[in-house]
Amino acid sequence: MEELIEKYLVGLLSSDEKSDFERKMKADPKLEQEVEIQKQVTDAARISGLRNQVQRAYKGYQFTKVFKAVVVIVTAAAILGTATWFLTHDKEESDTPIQIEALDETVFMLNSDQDTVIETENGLILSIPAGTFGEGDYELKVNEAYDALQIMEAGLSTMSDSSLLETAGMFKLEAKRGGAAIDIAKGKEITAMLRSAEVDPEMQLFEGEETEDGVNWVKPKPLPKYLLTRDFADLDFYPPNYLKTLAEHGIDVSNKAVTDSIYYSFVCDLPELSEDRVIRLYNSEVRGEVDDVAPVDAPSRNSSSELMRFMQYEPDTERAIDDVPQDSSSVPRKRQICPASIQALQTAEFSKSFIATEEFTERLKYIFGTCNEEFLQVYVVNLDKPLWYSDSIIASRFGGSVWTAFYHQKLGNTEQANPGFAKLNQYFKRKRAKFNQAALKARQKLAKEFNKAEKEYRKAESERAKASDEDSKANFKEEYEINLKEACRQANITYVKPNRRYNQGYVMPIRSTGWKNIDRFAMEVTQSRESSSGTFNGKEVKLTYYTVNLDVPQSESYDFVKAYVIPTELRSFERMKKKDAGFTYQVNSLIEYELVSIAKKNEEYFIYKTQLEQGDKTYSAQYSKVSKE
Amino acid sequence: MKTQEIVEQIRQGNHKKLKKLYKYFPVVKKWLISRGCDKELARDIFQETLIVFCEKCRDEDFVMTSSVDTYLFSVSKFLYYNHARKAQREQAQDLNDLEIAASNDVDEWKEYESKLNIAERAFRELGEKCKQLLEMFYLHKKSMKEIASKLELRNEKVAKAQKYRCIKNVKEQVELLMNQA
Repeated sequence: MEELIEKYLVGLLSSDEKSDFERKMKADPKLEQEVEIQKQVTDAARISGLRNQVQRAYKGYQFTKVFKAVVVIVTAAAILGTATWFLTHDKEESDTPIQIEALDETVFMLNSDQDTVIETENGLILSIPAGTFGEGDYELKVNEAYDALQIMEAGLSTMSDSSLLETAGMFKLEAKRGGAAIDIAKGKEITAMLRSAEVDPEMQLFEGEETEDGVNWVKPKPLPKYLLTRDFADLDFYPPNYLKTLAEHGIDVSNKAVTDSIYYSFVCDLPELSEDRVIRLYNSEVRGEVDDVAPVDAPSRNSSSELMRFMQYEPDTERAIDDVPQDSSSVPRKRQICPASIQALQTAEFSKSFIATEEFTERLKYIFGTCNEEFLQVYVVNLDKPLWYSDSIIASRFGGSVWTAFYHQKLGNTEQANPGFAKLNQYFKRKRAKFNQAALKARQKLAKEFNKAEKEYRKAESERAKASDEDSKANFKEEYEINLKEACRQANITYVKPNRRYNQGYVMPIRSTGWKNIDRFAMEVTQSRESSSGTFNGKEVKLTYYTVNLDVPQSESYDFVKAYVIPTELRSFERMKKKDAGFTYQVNSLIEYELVSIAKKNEEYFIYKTQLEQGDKTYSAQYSKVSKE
Repeated sequence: MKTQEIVEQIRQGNHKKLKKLYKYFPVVKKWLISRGCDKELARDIFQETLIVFCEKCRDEDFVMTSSVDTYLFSVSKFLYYNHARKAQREQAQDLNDLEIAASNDVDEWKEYESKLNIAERAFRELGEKCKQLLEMFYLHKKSMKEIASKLELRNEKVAKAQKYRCIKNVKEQVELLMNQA
């Protein structure tokens, strides 16, 4: 009987069987009830499954909706004759809080079977190891937001819960294969590098959660402070004035082979320092105790053997050429940094260490000035430790504001544990080889001008060196503030493309797709954004909030209107809340804000800016036209 | 894609196109929110709309007289009116023929849904495997053979016996819930 009921319900009975069965049912109320329950059960199974399907489809849809929502609203409105009036009469902001199409978008067609390094127009570099996105071809979409207009137009903000963040840039990664979203495979990571004019050590990597009000930035992770190694050919290991002096003697200084061979041909008395003594000496300085054995975390075997070679290195005296000026290096002969030491440093064993960084060569310039090879040895011995460690040894042993300043930079080491990192360097190498090629051509063409420029460069270099001799901390702070102000001033009006020639930046491992933001907490504020007490710059202060309202006359005539309050001193974006025909927001009395509202009508952009005054106030937006560039 | 094609696919238990139908969601959502729904409710209503549509597709006599988007929009509207009526807020007005059709579909569905309430609750109490099996059979119209291989059951017969047990479980649960109510 069960089977018959089933067949009846599924519609497998012939019409004769069906009418026969229905007759039976009429006569037998118990059977009828049985059928009814069975029907309910099978219907429930179907509909419950359907609900799952519908929800699953929603999740898939959600992933792509940010890209499509606005387009869909436009096209669907055209189809839906009955619905159009709702749309034309409803000028509210789109329901999707983020208009991602306002951002620069780059789509890469990639293959996951091989290691890949890509660079976007804006200079975001991604190193993607093989297998990060499974196997085969896939599509990687990168959306980036760096400048103020883009950030505001896209409706992004820099809030983490209710804390204000200062941003160095935001980007979103999405990968797809065959139309379906894919995520980064477990245990794999992408290394991203965002180049920047200045690097703020407090910056962290945030992940974005899309919410009704935009993006909430969560899960901050500190960025590893890697030093970036360079090809030795790109680094200047010469003493100051060396090239200048050569040039004065009519030697082609653009030929590194020549300048190298001349430099390395100098004979030098190697200092009588033993490796052990150096290590013991400095470690006891730092640790405050004398230790007879070499420290456990001594340099690795490779650099150790290299070090031995370096200590025993005998320069080939035969190679000294007579026509080379003996005074080409300004340092006295007896006490100096041996060219042989410098040559030994520039070998493959050191190429992944901090020796091969611009940070180190910056220090080297000063080491030449000291004419004391012990300085050099401190770095060589402590290759496995962060750069600040060696800086601190020299600062404490020899004093000097230069090294104190270096120490305060708190620079780390290179990150070789990260396989993607090596690829980044290779990439750089290729890129820089190109630049070098171009530079070389230019040099050959303008040899004379170059020599002059080189002189000026040296002069500037020595002036810069003098400047950094001063109290670095005060200097740094001042510069920092000026830069921030400048950045904000520029950001509010004009679009400044990140300079691609910056050689520093933020390096970060990425283990999931989605929104990423490089930020630091600008200040902690209370959840309610109401007047209360809190902390600012580490001090307990009373916080007062003002209510700022913005009226937007004829707001319905614009395609969209967005309003932000932007602290004058921070690269942050707080999005004002919509209220009636305008906006409202609670602002912190301790922070100086500028109110910026942008609007768009017929592909034209309008902007209204005003400095916020203290106290509750209502402003009225008076837009003026701007060009997007 | 042609309307009838979508209907046909869903009728045969293929629900891959559901995701595509979400492209009509933003318009519907906008309208719903303009009527005072929150985002959650707007989503629920649209999802229910899709269920009404899928159920409608099962009816072999069902022929779409309008485009899918128009139909979905109408159904969403009536599901909303239905919801609002309960909250005594809004009455549907100025209906055209098409919307009356959608209105009927919604009324039908609502009646049916309330009847199914208990059975659905019972179904949700089932073990995961049972749920999968019944879904595959009744929703996706898979054969017993396919089901057996997907659920790693020895053969058709085992799958069939399993299905019988699952249904029996739901029935018992339904009776239990009915007695409670």
